[in-house]
Amino acid sequence: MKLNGVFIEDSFAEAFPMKATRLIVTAANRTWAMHAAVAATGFATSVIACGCEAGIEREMKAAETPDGRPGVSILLFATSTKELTRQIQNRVGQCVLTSPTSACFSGMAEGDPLPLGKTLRFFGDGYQLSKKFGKNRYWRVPVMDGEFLIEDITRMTKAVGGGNFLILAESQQAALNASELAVTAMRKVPEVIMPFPGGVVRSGSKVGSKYKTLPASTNDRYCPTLKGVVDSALSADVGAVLEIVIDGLTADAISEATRVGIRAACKPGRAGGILAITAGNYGGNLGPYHFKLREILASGRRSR
Amino acid sequence: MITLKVKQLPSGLTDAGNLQPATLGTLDASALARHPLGNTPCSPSIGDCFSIKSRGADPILLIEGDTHTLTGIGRGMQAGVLVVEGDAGPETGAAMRAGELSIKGNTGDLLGAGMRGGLIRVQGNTGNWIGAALPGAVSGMRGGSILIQGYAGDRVADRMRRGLIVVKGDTGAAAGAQMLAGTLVVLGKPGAAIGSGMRRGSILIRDAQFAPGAGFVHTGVHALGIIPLLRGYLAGLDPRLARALRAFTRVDRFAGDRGCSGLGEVLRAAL
Repeated sequence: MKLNGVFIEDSFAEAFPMKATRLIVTAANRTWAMHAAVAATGFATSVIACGCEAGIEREMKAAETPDGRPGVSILLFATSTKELTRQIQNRVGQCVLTSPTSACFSGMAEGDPLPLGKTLRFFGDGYQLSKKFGKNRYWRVPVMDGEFLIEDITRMTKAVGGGNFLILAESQQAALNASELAVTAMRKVPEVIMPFPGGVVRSGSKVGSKYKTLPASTNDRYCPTLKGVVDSALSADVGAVLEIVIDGLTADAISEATRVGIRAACKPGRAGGILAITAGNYGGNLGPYHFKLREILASGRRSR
Repeated sequence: MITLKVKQLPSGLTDAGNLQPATLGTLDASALARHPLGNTPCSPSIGDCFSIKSRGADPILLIEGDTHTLTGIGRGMQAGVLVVEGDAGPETGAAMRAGELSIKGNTGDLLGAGMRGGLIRVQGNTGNWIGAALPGAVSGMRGGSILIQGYAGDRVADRMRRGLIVVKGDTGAAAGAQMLAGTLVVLGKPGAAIGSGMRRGSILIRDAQFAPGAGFVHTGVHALGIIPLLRGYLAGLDPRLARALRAFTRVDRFAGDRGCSGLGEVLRAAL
């Protein structure tokens, strides 16, 4: 299968179940909402060492947010409920509570409850106030610029982490161009994030290492400088590989992001130095979700 | 839907706690007519007091006529819609848990007292102790909403524990007295001693001339994030009342009652 002259390998991305939540961060204006959201989703590229994977889902207009101010929707993914709870507390406590004019709300109506303001309220040292409208409880925590408003709980849902595809290109620049096109297109897909810097990862990893203490190490088969040294997966004309990792609230959302992303990445075509698209997997034995590239591209939306 | 039209009511206050849409909706016409109006031993039957029309199985109960002598209409209501076309007596919607109760006329005392959920709408005026504690109870309403388009009597939201009360008109004395939590909004002129003895909770007063008692300390003028949330919630219940909350975009915040824990607040719309 080829797209714009770019070979689509008959491969699949292998993804894993995760736990996720959506938070809505608002502020007096778009700039400060974004400051808080960027900080809260920082250092959250991979669960391997960050505790969670997080990213900005989209910006929200004032009319869409609970308090009628500009906001940002962020998604956080973790491998367990306990870890997700911990990450929410740390990230909202250190990055949203601290950001001027910010407020934080649950972005999900359904799912298992996780504490949000329920624990962070104690920062108020007894001066925090509770307000309950209908079924939603909020906490008002006095801070130096007024009050930090935070919803009592957020909701957790089962999600999928580790969707991916790899862009094989003639040069680093060509791979970068295609990646940027892909990520720009994928950011319009709801319910997904691309947690790595700019949505792109250059250090794809394999499980394990020759060093016993490392859980993961460089994906040597896709390193162009190791061609001929290892059992390389790259042909002679591949000069650089970049990967886009996708976490989504549903498998369908990841499929759609994969489809949109690959199509965008292939736009420069063979003439633009894009040689092939493939995906990372572990032989299909570890993760229950398999995103088959050719099926996804052929059918629009599909997974497993 | 069941329609009950007043035929003849006993003289004096009469318990009508069995006038509940979900319960009566399960009865056939003859059983409905025999069903006691209230929970007292000598309670008249519904058929004695009302002419009955029943159509469909929707849990909607419509009461037509003046029922101001009936106490406890919709008491402990757990589902359905109850509409009183005229006046209703004391304890209407007391201890209500869910559903919607709409009174087109006026009501007596203790409307929604001890309620835990649901929605009460009153087109007219109400008596005293709205959303307050039932006799013998420690705290007042613990959930739900009461929206009053007219005047509310003394001690609205007395010992209120949770929930929302909005009074479009004026209130009598001691509104929000001894409040434990919850939200009371007064869009008209409040009486004396607002929030006296309140421990927590919020009282919103639109009257810019209002001055709280000595137990309250002015904490400045603020634009509070909780107001848009309240407005959004109220918009789902009554958009016109919600629009009136725009007056609270900036508020003078008074913390109190300092004679108690002082964690309550009176929010006066700022000029």
